[in-house]
Amino acid sequence: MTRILVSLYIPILLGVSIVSNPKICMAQEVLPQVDISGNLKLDKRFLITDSVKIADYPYHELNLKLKSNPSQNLYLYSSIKLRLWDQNLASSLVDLTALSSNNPYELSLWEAYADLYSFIFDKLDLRIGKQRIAWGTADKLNPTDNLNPDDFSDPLNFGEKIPTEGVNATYYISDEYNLGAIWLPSLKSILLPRGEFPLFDDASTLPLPPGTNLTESADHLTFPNRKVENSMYATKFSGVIVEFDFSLSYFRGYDDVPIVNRLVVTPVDTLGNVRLDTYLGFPEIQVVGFDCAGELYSIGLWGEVAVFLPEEVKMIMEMPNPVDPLNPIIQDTIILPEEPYVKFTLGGDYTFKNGIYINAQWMHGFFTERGRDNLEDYVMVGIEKKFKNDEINLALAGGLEIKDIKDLKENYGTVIIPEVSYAPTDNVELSLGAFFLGGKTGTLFYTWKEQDQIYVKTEVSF
Amino acid sequence: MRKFLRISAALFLPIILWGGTGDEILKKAEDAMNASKDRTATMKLTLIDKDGDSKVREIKMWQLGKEKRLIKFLSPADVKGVGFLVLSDNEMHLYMPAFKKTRRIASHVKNESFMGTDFSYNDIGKCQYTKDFIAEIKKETEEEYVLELTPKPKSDVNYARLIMRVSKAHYIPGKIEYYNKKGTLLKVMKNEHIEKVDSYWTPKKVTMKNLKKKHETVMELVKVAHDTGLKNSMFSKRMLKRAE
Repeated sequence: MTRILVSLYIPILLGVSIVSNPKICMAQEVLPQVDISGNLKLDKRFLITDSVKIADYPYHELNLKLKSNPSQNLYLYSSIKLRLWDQNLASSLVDLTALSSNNPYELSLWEAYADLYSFIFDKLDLRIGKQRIAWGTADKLNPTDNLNPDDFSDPLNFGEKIPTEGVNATYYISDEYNLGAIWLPSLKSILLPRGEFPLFDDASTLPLPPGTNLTESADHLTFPNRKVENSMYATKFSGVIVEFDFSLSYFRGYDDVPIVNRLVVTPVDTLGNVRLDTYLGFPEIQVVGFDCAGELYSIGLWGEVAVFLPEEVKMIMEMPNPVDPLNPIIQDTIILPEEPYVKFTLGGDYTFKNGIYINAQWMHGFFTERGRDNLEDYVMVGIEKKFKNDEINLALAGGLEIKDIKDLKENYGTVIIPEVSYAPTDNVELSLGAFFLGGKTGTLFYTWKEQDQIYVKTEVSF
Repeated sequence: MRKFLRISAALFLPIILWGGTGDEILKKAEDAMNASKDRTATMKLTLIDKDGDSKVREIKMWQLGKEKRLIKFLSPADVKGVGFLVLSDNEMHLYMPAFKKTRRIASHVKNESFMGTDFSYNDIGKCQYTKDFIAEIKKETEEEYVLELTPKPKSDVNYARLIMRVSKAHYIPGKIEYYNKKGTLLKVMKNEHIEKVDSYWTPKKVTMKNLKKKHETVMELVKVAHDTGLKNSMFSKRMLKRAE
């Protein structure tokens, strides 16, 4: 941590403009202190399926956080993220003239917000700007957490989310009860992994007319118009009942995972070679959520349920008509019916007297799954034990994907994640671990089988 | 002889009455430790392992009455911003800034190490010994009372017995020994450099030694202020997740 005094006007640095609060104006007269901190994460993955290969989707990351409290009722925060991909994009001599070919990188103003405490009313807090709004009580597997899109840049890092611009107001009715209201002006989509990582079906797996051969393909994303009426909003009421924290929530917006709504197959020659254009959109959804966390007989327990109310999505497929080339064949199929579906996570944890910690969760519906008939079950169990004054942590996590409980023998996927981490000193953590994926064809974990890997990670905080 | 006994009784009775029972002395010790209405303190925690290697943490603590505490980690960087809120013996919450989430601490965690120190969540959170323990005077010297504390039925403590040495001068316990059911001495806590700050007796150095791990945590008072008028609303989940 470094504390320095700067004379720069911090909101400019943060990209946030705030006026009208007299307390803030008073704070400008004295130089606000800016607290700079952050971390550096280094991540190297070795795929071990056939031969040992270096994975190309992980990234190293530098996070720089700037914080300031110019006055008692104002807090400013921003974080800058620099991602350096473990890839080499150079394919020609010209590429070698650019540093970014050898080390592709991205720089992002990841978060930038202002907290206005006791805004107008003593019990009202406001957060304005690009922010992470974390909902849900489950451990990373949160079906009610739909305000920020998922960051699948590293799909094996479950539960990562991308901050989005918005206004988040919380009114504290009492110490135990509060009511939140959130407005997100526009939809932001999920981030996909770079390199080879099968998160969704690609175009080559989609059904094509018989006798055709796919030679070209392209996809086209259509976001909702950036109109105010297309903005998203949510509300949440939180409280405590019999020593259980709970919340009831409602979200109205868009599904941030794009869905195919149109396929156009166009002949490129007379030999049966075709081009496929895939059009994707973001369906409207409403989500009613409930979560709670507490304990029974000393066992920590949590539960989270989300009822998704989607709009119907039809996929229109246009194919060449061999009889009448000017009038293509058009077929439509409902791929997301307008019927509610429920995702949930139930879990618990316990620490035994010998220090062994166990955490178990049952999740119905993965992040990318939607529609009543497409939700699978996942049981995740983790065990941890710390040694040497908490410097060494041994962890073993395992997951079972249940595609069809009635025929489990043929419909399961597995993941096993052993990890040892060591903190030789404060602010440094070294980890060595592995992902072993398996199961039966057609399951999510099996499709990731090529991603069996050993990883080495280093995290340094400052 | 009978007359002598009567005189002796007459001489010693006031002393016994003045000294009180074990529970009364424990109550006085508890009152002495929580004498001010509120307290705001910055503390340096040094964690020392059996090889003598040390790690330093810095925390800020606000306390209101005997029950409510709010603790924020100021350093090192990897735990900075972590917050711990104690509303009662049964209700504790932890805020982890990396996840932007507040979580209620379940009972199974309360006897675990508090952020790598030799204090457990219960040691840090519990300010009221009289709620959980029955005290008996085991020994009395000119300087101190030696109390034996045993848990009350259904109390949520991990120790079977505590031996507490309470100073007669100011009632701040100088030393507390923590034993398990087998009678093994697990931890020893020492309050040292006890001085008057803002007219309240205040230990400026607290050492908790874990004998099994051969590890100790030294908590030194860097800055302290009493009776600054902290409000009840300061001790809430709202304030826990709020930046200082």
